[in-house]
Amino acid sequence: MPFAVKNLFDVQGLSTRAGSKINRDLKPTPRDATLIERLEAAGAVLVGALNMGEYAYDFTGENIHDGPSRNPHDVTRMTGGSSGGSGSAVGGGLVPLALGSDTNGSIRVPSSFCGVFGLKPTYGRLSRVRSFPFVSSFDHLGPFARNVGDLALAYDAMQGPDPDDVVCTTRPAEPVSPVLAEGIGEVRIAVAGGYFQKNVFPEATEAVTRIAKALGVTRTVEIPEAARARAAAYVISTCEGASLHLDQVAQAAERFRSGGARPVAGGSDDSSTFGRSRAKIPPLVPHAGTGAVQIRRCHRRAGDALRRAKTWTDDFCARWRRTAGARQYRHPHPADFLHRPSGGCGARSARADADRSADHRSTLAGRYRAARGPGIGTRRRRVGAKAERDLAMQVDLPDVLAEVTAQFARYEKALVTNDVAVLDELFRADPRTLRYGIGENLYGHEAIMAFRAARPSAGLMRRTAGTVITTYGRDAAVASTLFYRETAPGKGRTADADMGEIPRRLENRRRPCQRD
Amino acid sequence: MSLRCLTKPSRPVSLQPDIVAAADRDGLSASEIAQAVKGRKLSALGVIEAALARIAKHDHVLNSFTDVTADRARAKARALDAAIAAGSNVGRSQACPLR
Repeated sequence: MPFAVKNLFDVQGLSTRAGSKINRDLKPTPRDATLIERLEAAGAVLVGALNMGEYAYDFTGENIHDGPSRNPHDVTRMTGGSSGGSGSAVGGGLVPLALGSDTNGSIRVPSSFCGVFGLKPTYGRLSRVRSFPFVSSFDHLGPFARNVGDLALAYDAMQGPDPDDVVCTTRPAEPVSPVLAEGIGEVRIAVAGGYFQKNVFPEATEAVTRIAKALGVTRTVEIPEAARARAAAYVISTCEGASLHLDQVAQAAERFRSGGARPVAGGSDDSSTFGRSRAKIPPLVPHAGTGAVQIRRCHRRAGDALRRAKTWTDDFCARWRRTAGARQYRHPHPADFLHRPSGGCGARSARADADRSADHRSTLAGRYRAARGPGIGTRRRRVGAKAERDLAMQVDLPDVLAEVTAQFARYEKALVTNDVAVLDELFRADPRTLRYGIGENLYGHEAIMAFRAARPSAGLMRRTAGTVITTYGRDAAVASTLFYRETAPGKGRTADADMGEIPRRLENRRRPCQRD
Repeated sequence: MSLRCLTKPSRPVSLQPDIVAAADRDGLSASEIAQAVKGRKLSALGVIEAALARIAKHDHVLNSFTDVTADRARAKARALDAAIAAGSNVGRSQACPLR
């Protein structure tokens, strides 16, 4: 049985181009991807490699280097992406089986648009060894076929542990083909409501309704926190994608193309400046420019963003478990199967609607990110801002709290030992920095420095109690404490505030402006 | 209810109706191909040649493929046919459902 694979799978003797121009310079790979080996061991025969969106960051199936894959049902429409060639090859009957990959919908979109069946398996079910990654936390490989039976057959042939993929399951294969004949009698199906019914085009709603009717499904359940999940996926995709491609951006930024971002027939291939490429890279390297300095800055930003994303996602998952998600899981009649639109719309025209394609891709992207469970994005352009806002609202992020607590301790120690250098450092060097003391009000950093330099170092020892430190987002914090001095009756109060700026970066956090 | 009710592709609205219609009419499913090859009703090489012919005929329109590994596919198909002719039961076992 012939099959073909998206060109991010290693095929012995070919360079694994992953839809890019850059990768064509890679050496031919010495060995097939694990999934190709498994299918061939089961008697299938590889006949070729398939078109895809550049580096799998695409929802249209358009590739600026290789041209767009075309929808076999109507060649003026897009196939969906990024596994566009997989959708069109199976939909057009060129091969009965194809493999693709899905990070944020790249199997689900083209299988939906091309009228075939696609399977994005549970994360870790199928080995990804010797395939080109995009966002390792979300990358899935899976099959396309013209019916469910073939999908199951291929899936079963590819299942099983693979020690070379650290996230691949260690459980033995669980064949699904034998179960198909049992039908769906006892399976509890529900339509996904809430988020999945908003911003959906009428044709998708109609399709969902028709299938629900055919299956006799009447129940609707809501997946909690879907919008937040979507935002999380966006941030994580951005960070991991950026760290994967940063070296290439530094060395050969001009060779990236914004494949799906402009009309395919527009002939504007020469707009390959880095600035233009940001249409593709933007989430990957926000605000990137050319030159080593900017690249280093991008590195730093990517690192910061990754830390923020991890913290934020951990917090999100914890909250999800505590609240709505947990309730859903305790629901007495949970669903085995959630029915929802695959794309939120039908296959769009590849050319006439090209100027709308950014919105189109956003819609698609959102559906897929949100659909994946705890992981997931908001609308593309706005997502960054949304995610930033969400981050800023978080109280007591552990790493920020640890940093402020450490600075507080450092300040306290410097104060009682009269370590003037440290105290001066901790006060922001700005004429607006204030210090209200017991006996004096000081305005400006210089005045404060002069005061400290002149102050006698005896009698500064103090004991603190009731310290409360609270951080808000990543750039603002308040610390307050009571202190007792042996030399003075009563008690005093200290409040430290550290107000950041937007946009925020860890290394740019302002020094605390303090009162003592 | 059987999942079979879901296996019919949506009605084609193609400007190239021949591609999808021909696939619907003539295209065998993976399991049908596997059965036919195992039962020697079709040769593996014949199946692969047919696929290569479909690619040659339609892919200039669909632009699905970036590489066609025809030589490799033919060699593999010949090896499979030889194994079946030699009576190897590899292809008949559950381990090789896709042959």
